[in-house]
Amino acid sequence: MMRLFSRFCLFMLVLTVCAAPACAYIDPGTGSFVFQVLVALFVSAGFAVKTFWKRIKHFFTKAPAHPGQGKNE
Amino acid sequence: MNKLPGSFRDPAGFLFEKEGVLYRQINDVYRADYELLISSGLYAELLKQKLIIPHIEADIPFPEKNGFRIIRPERVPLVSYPYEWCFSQLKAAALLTIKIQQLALAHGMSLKDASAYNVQFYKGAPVFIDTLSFRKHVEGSPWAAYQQFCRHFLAPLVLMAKTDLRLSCLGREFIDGVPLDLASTLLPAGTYLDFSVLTHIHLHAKTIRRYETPGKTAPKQPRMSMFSLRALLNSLESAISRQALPSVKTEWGDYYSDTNYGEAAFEEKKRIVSAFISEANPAKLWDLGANTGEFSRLASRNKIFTAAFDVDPIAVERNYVKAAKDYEEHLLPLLLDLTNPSPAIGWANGERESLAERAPADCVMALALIHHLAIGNNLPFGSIFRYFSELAPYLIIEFVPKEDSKTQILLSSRRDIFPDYHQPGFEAAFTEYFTVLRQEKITGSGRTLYLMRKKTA
Repeated sequence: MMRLFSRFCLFMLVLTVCAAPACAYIDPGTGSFVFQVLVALFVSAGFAVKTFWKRIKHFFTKAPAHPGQGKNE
Repeated sequence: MNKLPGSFRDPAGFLFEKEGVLYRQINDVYRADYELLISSGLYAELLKQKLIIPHIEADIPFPEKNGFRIIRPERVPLVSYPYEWCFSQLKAAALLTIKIQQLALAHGMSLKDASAYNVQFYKGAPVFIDTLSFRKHVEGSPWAAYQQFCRHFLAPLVLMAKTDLRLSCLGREFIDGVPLDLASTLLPAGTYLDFSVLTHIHLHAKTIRRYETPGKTAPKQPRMSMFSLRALLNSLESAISRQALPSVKTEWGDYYSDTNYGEAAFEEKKRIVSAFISEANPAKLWDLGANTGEFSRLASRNKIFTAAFDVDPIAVERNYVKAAKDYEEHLLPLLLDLTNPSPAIGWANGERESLAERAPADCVMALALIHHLAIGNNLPFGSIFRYFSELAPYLIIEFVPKEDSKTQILLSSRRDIFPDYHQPGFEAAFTEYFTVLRQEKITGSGRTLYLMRKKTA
């Protein structure tokens, strides 16, 4: 994970420092596709934690399968 | 058959009108995707959650060759555009688009575009109107509409929240959304510290620029797992959800608490306006200069579709937030500078209609507005009435005299060059276009309300 994070940060740094002037030459969607994959990889870690946490929370807070069960006990 | 110009870009089909009814021809090229939309259960799920405009299949001849099917979608009473929406409307449309893409992925499909024009406000909520925007999701492919989503939704929302609320007007200039490099330039430096804005706007813009460099070869299309796609959508959803307006006080936000007449006169005005609305009996009413919609609701609460236009983005925001909170199905607050109404834009000025092209309504209401148009903007009475007569056959209008405190405020910082601004001048001007049906003074205010009907040629 640290390796991925370092690579992402390095990529972002290169982008920030070396932005080239726009000349609208190649498909403008290409950069967006490449960037999307990188960003998605990066946010996946956070999303995995979030999804896992939601499941844990749901496990402890979910309503009983049969809500009426306890009433007559 | 009248083909609508706004849908010509998509080879999958087009919208047309026949005998006043709206239809959409689905072309043969879209057959597989349309069948998947139905067979996957996605359409039924979207319909169940009220996220898409309902349609029925129609059995009429194809107006053009290569047709596969014709559908008849429900028609919204007024088409509105993103540059006419307030902040919360654009935010609601953005969240709707994300939710639909999440549901589409769960059904093996994906949105092929993420245009804000695919969303309309119908019965008080945003709905997706482009039934042909779905296509089969190819395993491993990124979201083709990611950049478009950022341009149409995220960039304008962040600009409105962090730079200036009035920047929603950029949508009028850039029909395919705000270019990300422009958004990046306009945003304050502090937004580099916000991870979502840093990535989805600033660094996204820089990457696009890098790949536009001459001589840069396009790489093989990258692959993306379903989990990564879901993570990306989650990131966009949270970026949109976190956008909020700073508290801004505007000229009109507190208008009703600062009127120059008392509560009794205010109630009397409401009573007269209600009676005039009943007499005009409109199905569609446009309230011009509606502020936060106090008088618009006299119509909308009686199930009359009411578009409440105002120039003040905060007033429209308040109006929409209240309408959404109270599930007001018949009220649509919209942003509009009446002195510079929405023009026709896009290819051949035909893709998005001007305000007048979306007329007629059945009735136009212009309360406490005439002094702003005639004195605040130097518009001659005759020109005002001519424009109103193009918008609807009935007009409910309030004359505000020069002695009124609100008119005096307008005159306080300028020379009075309006010798004809008086009630006889007002009445002389409208006789060319309208006939008066009712006329009542609001006691204790010096103001007069009129109900007029357009003269037939």
